[in-house]
Amino acid sequence: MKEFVAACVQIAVAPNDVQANVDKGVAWLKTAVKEYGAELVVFPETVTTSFVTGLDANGLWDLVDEAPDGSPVTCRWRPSRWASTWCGRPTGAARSGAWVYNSAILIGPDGEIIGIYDKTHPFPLERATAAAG
Amino acid sequence: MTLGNRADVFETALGSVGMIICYDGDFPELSRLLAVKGAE
Repeated sequence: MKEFVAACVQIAVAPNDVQANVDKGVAWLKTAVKEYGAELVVFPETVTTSFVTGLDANGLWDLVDEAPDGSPVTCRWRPSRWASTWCGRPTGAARSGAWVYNSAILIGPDGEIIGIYDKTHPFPLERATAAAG
Repeated sequence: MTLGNRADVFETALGSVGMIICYDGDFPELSRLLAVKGAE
């Protein structure tokens, strides 16, 4: 492992306003790289939607995207394409129908998806959002 | 929210990366699993 600068971004999100949260997150990603030389930038859990959405599974499904290859990921945000920065982004991720996952997505410097992790221990509040797979 | 059922380690130019989220941190088996898989 090489030594590198990691940044943690913490922002006040707008509940269920994915685009606004993405725009804000990208702005802070750029700041982390420009001002601190960050090579890894980590964002909060469910940064695109907020943790408490007030939505059921179908409503949450409407907010998130499927990956082009069908893998479970929201692809709306690939902010690291513009900079040599790795980006770990926990977010709401959808696989199909009422199956919605709380996922962390590791995005490479060219915007490519390196890896996805689906949260294995949802908090009790989260379990009410969708049926278990 | 549906539960995930696996935890993987991903190779990057920065090192080998594993990911967990929030409440996962209350369950040390998950971090141990990732370490055994090579996470740095």
